[in-house]
Amino acid sequence: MKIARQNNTLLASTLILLLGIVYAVTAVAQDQSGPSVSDNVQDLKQRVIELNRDLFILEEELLFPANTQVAVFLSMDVGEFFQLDAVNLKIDGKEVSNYLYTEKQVDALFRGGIQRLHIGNVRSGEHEITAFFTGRGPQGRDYRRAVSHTFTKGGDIKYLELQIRDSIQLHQPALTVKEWQ
Amino acid sequence: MASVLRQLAVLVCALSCAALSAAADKKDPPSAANALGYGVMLYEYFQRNHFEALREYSIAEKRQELYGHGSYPKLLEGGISLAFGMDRKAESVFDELLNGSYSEGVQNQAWFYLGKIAYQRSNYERSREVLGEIGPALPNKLQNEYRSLVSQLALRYEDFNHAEAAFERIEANSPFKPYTTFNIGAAYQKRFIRSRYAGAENNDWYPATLKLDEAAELALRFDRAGATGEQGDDEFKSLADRALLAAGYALLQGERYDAAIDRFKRVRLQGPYAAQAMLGYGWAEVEQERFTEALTPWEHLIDQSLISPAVQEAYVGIPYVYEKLGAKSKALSGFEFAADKYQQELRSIENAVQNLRSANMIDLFVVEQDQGFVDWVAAHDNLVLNPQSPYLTELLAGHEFQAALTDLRDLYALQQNLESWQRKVATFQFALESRHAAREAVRVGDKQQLLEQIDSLQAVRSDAYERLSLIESNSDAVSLLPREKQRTARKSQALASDARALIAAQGGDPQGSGMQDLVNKAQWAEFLAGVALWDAHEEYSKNAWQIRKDLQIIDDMLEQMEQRKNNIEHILSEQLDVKRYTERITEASKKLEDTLAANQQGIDIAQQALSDLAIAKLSQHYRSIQAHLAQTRLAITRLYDINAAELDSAMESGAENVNEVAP
Repeated sequence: MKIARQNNTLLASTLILLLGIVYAVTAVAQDQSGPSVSDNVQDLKQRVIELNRDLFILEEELLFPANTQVAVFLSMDVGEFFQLDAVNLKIDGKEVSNYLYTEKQVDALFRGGIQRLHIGNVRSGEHEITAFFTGRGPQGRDYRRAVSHTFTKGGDIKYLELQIRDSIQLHQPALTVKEWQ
Repeated sequence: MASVLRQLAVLVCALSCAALSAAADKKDPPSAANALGYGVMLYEYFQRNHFEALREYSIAEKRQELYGHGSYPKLLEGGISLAFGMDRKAESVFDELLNGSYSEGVQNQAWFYLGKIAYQRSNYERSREVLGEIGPALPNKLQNEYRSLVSQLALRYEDFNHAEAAFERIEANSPFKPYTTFNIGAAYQKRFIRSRYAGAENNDWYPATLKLDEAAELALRFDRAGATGEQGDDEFKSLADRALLAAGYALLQGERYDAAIDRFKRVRLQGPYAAQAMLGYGWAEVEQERFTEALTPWEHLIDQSLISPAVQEAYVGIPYVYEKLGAKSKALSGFEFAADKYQQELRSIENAVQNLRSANMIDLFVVEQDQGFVDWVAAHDNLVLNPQSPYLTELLAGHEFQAALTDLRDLYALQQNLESWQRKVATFQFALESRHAAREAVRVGDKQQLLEQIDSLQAVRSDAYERLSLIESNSDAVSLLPREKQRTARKSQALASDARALIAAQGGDPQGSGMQDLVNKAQWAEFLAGVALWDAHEEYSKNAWQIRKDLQIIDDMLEQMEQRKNNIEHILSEQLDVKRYTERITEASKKLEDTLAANQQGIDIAQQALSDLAIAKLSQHYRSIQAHLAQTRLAITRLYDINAAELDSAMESGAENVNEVAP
């Protein structure tokens, strides 16, 4: 009799264990109380995002005023002929950025993201930008190519976009520099 | 509420949306971002840098760089907010999309996400109401998730027919398929267990088993096809294990012991459900009175940590089996061993609670603090836990605790971000003053110098033009000759002229004394002057062209200098409002300070909440061990009672025998 009772007790705890297994996937906590740590964290996140935005804009206005600012972006369209490893960027022969890409970053570019590669100051007048791309080209071979572009810096911010595109006809990546107005 | 939202993200997103949307994203062709700001936001979003993506969104929105992408930016803002654990923000974004200015498809998506948020908050009525607003134009990529959600909701109301119907409409290649069927099976099982406790007749264990078997089969099919989810490469293997485990227990309750054993044996030994499977395996053997067979899995279990409820139960299960096998002595020592273990475990828990009360939670659990923000949806199982606290690591690795820990980590990441800005802002005033000084230098130095240079060059230019014009009008070719030749020509002319004057002064008789020599010199000088004039006319065009070319160079230089002057004037004309910038810097510093203080307060609250949660979990574990210990002590007492009774009986029997043989 005692053993039978013990067996029942043990099985009952097994059932509790089983409930745990089932609830692990489907249950959602029933906590319906008012403002919580999470609400507080959400408020703080929003506050910090807005503050970051304002500080970013203030920083740009102070350190990179429009009449000297040049901002360089990198984008990739399709990118099947080129697996990007690194970009070395020079303005007027002076290196301003040397960037190594992670797989995640390349994937983000491949999916349509645009990287803000460099932001700096130049005097008004003519300048030359040169970008050296290294990575894997068609058939997985080592690939290194450069693209140069001359631009005139005026009173407004100069936006330049380094574009990596696929040239279907040539079965090669095509590298270009686009000036944004 | 905190746990609700986190569990929501873990459940709904991890089970469904994140896995599916990520998979869908991968397959979609890359889209060209028409505006740089939007593209930069996408770059962060695709890397799951949610904080950075929201920051970039906010910047792009303020700079009006989100044009040309329709409603996508807004939908993305909502989605990223949800993924970053900001469901209230997400809700307001989706509400905004319902203001009537967006297409039906977009509004349907907004309704869908609002329904999902309500579900995540356990507000099932609201969720049902909101999902009911969705029309036929819901995008295909959300259809399967929507059906899964509808099925989940139906299960909340035990409407199995509706849940099944929604499940049937989920496409076979959708990862929602195995999860949804698992959830239906689990719902049957829950109903069965509740009925069993209530003493009611119920056979739901059977449909539960069917659905759970189906879930395991589907999950393994996905795994074989190489599908990976947001929770890692083993996601579908893990789901299959969970389904097999639940099916095993359902069959155990349905008294289908061999079938239950079959399911338990198929659970991976290296997976997280192995301990529960081994426990169930043992019970299935016990139920068939195959006691020796039950010992194998349970003895394997007691090598593991007592944190697992399955292991706790195995400690008491083993001596129970020995007792059933009639090995009372072994049973007694087994119960005593279990009691010792339970007592040790209780002391460990007491120590752990002490540590929790005195330690900084983040130090206790998180080793690496420099990883930035946590992927709120996907990272709950991946947080780095301090290896020096394995006890806590294992016990507190559940979703609820992990979600609270993620919140705390996010707060620390916010703190790092704010501190980094604080260091930068300290240099802003210096940058402003430097810029102001540079502008002043341009104003008083560069500009003045440039103006003087321009004036001087303009004077040179005017003079040169005047001279050229005069030379051309007088046909004065000699003036265009190089300086040396010019001097020779002019000197020859002067000499000839002087000689002719002398000859004239002496009466003009060439035969006179010394006159012949003077005439010869005059003729030679005239010859030289004539040659020079000839050369000058010969080179006139070339020399005139060269001078014009030089003048053109001067003009170009002047133009460049004028342009530079204009640029300088443009720069100087744009007012550098030092006062306004100083105000903005001061305001930013103040906001940073206030936000850091609020964040620190948030950290303190989150630490306390996490500590309370951990202590509550440990207390729960403590009570469970205490219950096992009490059970074990009862068993020990009972066995001693039996032994004592048997000894008495034996002694009585012995005495009788002695009596019998005694003389």
